[in-house]
Amino acid sequence: MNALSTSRLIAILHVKKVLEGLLQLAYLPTSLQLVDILTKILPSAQHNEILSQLGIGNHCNSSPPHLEGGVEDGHYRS
Amino acid sequence: MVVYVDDILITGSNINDIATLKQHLHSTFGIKDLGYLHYFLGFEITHLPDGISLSQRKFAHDLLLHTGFLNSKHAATPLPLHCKLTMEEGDLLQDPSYYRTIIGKLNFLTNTRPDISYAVQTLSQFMQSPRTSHMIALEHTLRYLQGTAGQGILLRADGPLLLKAFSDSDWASCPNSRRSVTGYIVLMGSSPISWKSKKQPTVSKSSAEAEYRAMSQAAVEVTWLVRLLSELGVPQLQPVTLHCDNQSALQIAKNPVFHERTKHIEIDCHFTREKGA
Repeated sequence: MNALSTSRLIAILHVKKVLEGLLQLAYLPTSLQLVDILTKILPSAQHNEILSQLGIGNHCNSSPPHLEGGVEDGHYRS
Repeated sequence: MVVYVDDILITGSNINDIATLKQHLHSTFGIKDLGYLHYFLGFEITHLPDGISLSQRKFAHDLLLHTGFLNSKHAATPLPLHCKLTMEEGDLLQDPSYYRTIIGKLNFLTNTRPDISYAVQTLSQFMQSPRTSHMIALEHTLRYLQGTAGQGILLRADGPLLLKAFSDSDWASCPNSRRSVTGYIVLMGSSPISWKSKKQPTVSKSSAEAEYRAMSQAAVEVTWLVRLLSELGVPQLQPVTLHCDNQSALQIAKNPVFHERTKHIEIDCHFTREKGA
């Protein structure tokens, strides 16, 4: 066991004592996984749906982005 | 109070205390009060009726300007759909430092952009010896950015001060090493405050194992956030609900019986079980 894993183990045992009952585990159907956005590339409709659920978007209206001329999914270049 | 070289941020719950502190600083050093925070270290902060928005519009804009993608055609997703990049495809880039510089900048953008975290994580795998196929994928990310430069997160003022965590993994998704990707996101109320997309350091033999590792990483982050927030005076954060879409991983986390098939999962992964109820 190297130094890193030893210190990690000590840290875990310490945290275990201090923070028992920290988490409550819950099942969430795959279709509702917001975090999909961090593990794969989603089709744009799904991607944008998750972003809106997370409240991610253009919140300041001062200079809107150029939205014209979108590119189809799956194409490297136009 | 945050001090960065010669910029100072002050926050607090008592407006009079803040005013006194500012007066004190001014009488000692002579400071210029710029009022409400709106720009700091490349982050743009906007006070809106329903909360505070954080974005890096200028940083993204400058990156696009520097790379010549300011007027490019915009892409709908951060990387092409079903894009699988491999180590060997394409020719080696003549100037790998250019690729690395852009990745460095994109990495900084993930501070307010969970939407590009996965893409940046993927592209970072090829920093060592970037090839033309990786550059083409990177250009796709820049074109996605072109359409979404002003995008940022909204920290809602009305949400409850409650933490919720979500974890997921994509099992053996890396075609080069068959390692899995961890993703987690922590919400405060309904606003994202912490997220991560990261390739796992070891190979998992089942999707449940990969999922379990992702849960353990999320548990570590939640531990830290709860401690930080309680230091800032936010009470009653526990227990934090950790959502996961893999029943087997949940069972491993909940069940104290040592499974023969999960023996090889290292001790650090049992972290989730110690924390979970």
